[in-house]
Amino acid sequence: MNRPEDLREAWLARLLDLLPLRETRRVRAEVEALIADRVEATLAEEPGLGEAQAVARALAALGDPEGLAERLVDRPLHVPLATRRRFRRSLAVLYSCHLLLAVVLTAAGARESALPALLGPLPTESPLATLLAVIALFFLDAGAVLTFLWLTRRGAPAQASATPAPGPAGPPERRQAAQGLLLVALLAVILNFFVETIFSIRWRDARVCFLSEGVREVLPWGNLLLGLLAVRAGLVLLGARALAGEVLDALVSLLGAGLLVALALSPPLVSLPKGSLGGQAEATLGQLLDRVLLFVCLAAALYLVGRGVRRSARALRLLHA
Amino acid sequence: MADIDPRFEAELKRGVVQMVALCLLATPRYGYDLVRLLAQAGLSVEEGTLYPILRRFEEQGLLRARWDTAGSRPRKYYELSARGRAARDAMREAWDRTRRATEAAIAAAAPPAPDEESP
Repeated sequence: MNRPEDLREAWLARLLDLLPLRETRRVRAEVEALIADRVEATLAEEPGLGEAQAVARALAALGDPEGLAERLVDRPLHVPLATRRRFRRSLAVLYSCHLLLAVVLTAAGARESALPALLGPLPTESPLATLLAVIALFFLDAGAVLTFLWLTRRGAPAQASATPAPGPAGPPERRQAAQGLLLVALLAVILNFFVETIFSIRWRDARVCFLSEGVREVLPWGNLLLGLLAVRAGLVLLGARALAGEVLDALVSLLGAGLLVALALSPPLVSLPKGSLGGQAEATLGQLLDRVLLFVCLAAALYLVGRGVRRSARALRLLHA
Repeated sequence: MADIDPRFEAELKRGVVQMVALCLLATPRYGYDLVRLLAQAGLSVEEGTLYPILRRFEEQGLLRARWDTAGSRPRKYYELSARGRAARDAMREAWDRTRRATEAAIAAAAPPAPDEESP
């Protein structure tokens, strides 16, 4: 293992293992060139030194492969503590709400799922079936939280780019904007064509939306926000200055928070079809769903207010830069 | 001289190295050449720090890069693009502002001269 090429190959293998496949060829060529230059210079300065020692010095100058890989992909390779904490908290809230609703549906004697494939009564044929369903709910929610965290990740924050450059957006920002545009399109399709299907229950051979009239009247305003988000992504894609993006982002966040507060202030948010579950069970489930939606609206509004304030501050910094 | 936390110097140097590297890349240079020049200027930085910076600048379009295969082995040369020149100038302005502000703050914090102390 003391042969120079073995040292170099072992180090490169550790580095390339940590990088996306599409990057490996380029990084290998560039790092090999750096190593070769350093080795040549070291041997010229200290002719008595063996090549293996010179290679070891070159590798030491590159640091450990894990650290270099982190800096190259511009994001931590390990999940940061803050993300882990966010995951745990989100999962705890989602799973406990989900399980509680499933238990209520089971106790109320519901026979059909309230949200297809997402929310329904637990099987009661045997304790094992119930246990497996409870575990399955956990994995379903864990997957949902992971997907949500992935979709809302913000290019995980290269320290150097905490404040965007005042000039036009670069390729990474454009890639993020393209992803954002796709997400906006997906949300627009869901908002305009599938909301009433997703938030529905089967009742007398038909699916009936259980969102109240008030909520359904407010929802189309979401198109305005999605439109603004699309404009923001479009501006970034066209190479507009970062300031315009930050201003639009702040505006969308604050408008979104306003919309959610308007939703939360128009109870009831849920209106189950009369007689769908019968008496007490119907009232209990209605109230529970109402509280869950109210909680989600207020939590999201708080998050958006914080985001709006942060974006406004960044826009001001850019304006002064 | 009192010992200082090595992280202080490293953090101080992080931004400066990026600016100086852009300044040095007004003419085409390869990675190790840049390491050597920075060391000569008293800003020792190792390849493990400089290489990701060069790569990020290249991805941001601040640098143009080309492989030179004419020599004994291939070398990658980096050079400022038009966008890189604008970024370099912006960095230098930011550096000047920071330097002036720092010197003003230090001067303001300095103890008054003895003749100013007496009434």
